[in-house]
Amino acid sequence: MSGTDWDRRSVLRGGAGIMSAVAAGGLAAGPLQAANGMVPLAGMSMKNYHQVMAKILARTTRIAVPSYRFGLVMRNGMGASSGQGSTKVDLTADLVGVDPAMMRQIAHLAFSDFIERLRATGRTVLGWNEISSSEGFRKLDPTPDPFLKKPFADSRTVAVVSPEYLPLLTIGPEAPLSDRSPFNLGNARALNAMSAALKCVVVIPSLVMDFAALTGSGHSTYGGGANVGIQPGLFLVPLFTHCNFFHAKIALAGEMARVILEDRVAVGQAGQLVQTSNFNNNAEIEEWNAYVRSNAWWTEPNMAAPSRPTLGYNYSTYQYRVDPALLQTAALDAARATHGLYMGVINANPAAA
Amino acid sequence: MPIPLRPSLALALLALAAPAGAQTNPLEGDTQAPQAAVAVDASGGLVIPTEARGQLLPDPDNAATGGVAFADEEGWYRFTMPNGGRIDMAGPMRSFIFDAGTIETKCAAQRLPDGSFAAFTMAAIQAEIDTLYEPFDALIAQLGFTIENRATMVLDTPGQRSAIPLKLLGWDTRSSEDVRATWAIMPAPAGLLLFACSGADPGHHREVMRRYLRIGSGMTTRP
Repeated sequence: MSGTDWDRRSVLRGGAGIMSAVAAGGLAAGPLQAANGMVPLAGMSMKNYHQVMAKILARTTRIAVPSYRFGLVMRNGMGASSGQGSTKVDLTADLVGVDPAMMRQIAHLAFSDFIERLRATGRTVLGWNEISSSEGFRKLDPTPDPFLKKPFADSRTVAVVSPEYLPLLTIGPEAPLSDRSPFNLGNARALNAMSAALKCVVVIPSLVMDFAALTGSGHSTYGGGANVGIQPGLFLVPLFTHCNFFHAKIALAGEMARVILEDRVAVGQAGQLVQTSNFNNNAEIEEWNAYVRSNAWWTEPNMAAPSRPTLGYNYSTYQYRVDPALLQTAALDAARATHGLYMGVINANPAAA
Repeated sequence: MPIPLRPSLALALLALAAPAGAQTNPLEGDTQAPQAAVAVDASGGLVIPTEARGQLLPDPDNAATGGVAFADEEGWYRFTMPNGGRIDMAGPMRSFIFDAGTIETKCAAQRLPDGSFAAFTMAAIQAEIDTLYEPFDALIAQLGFTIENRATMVLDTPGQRSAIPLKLLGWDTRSSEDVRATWAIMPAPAGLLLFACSGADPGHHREVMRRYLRIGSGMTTRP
């Protein structure tokens, strides 16, 4: 892990001083770097998911998939402080080299894989003519694509798209990755109407990846040190990665099943993490440290001594610069693995024809 | 382990970049009839009917593109050529010549009956597969290829149903004539399946194997 680790007490004691910010990532960044504390993609199983109400999948063999969502965390940040704010560290990281068209292409390939697998389960997958002509579909209120969301009290900014031929759909209870109030049940009702009219289960998968895991020591009043760190590497984001299933016997009300990722799943590297800026008072602190370590304060009592720093700060910005081909490969690997598990859930709840 | 093998693969490279096509909704049109469920054994091996073994037959899943599939005589594997193709036999090695997308691709398969893994279950072999590279490195070198990368492959594309996707040992290699090929070995109770593909680059070779190779129950079941 690289990042910034500060200890103001050691600064003021003239001790070891402050570790300066370290440029992170680079060519040496290996796939295992992000895997610390995460589940490797090859090891992901249903143990890493939370299932709710999957039994509704047994109610019908017919499945409609009116949308597919693919998201990327485009910006993330972490801050830490201690000593009532006298030591502050902060980093911001951006995902660079991705545009909506590229994301939509990945969404298209992932959606195609999902449909191919769904058909291989032996279920009847409804065609677009049937889906789009249903009354429920006409009632859907799509979200503008791309959808950018910075959830409340969350430093992440997430971009979500769907394949260019599918509407991007969110429902209120999917907060925080939604553009509507949790009390807005419009789309949920429309999906219920679709399910009731077409006598099917409506499925909407969501796959969201992040590019770096951030760690921080938080904000403490009495502690002497503050640190933040960044581990580059793609991973599947818990909670944001999920699959929703809707089933309704009548349009007014229905039931919802969810399969929700609970753990971070390391997917691998698709680029390089580069530190693009750093703003700090290392020099000021080092000057003070040098003064304290020397005996000038005793032998030269009349010298112009440096001012004792009252604040230690270090602000860094990073970019994770992706190789589009690697990103696509990694995203599709992740999609295949998650889809395989979703199919396992579907197969585990067989429906009578 | 001494394995009699004479690789005679005339593997050529025709690397044509696949154009990024417009997005087409896979759900386009009317609702299709459901596909027949794929039968697999308890280990995840595809159950290949006896009457289909040793034959190159039209593949119903790729009927629109003239796809064909060959099922091994012993039921060890099934290999699909989605746009059609031809098979050949060179000694004990079966070769497949076909277009994968726009890329001319050649693959080859050989059964190597071997009792080294007969004492183990498929699940036990799969669990330890990443530790099995070393004994087989020499075999790949013996074939005249320099190993550039070792990475386990997961046959995780549709058709596996809810079975655990099977994993294969994989080597990305290059010959002295600069032919790039990806070799795979599937260790199983019945023996070893040696499989190779050469087309564009290692990513393409691996994708071909992931999509079109299926391990059959003839291999996963103890002889």
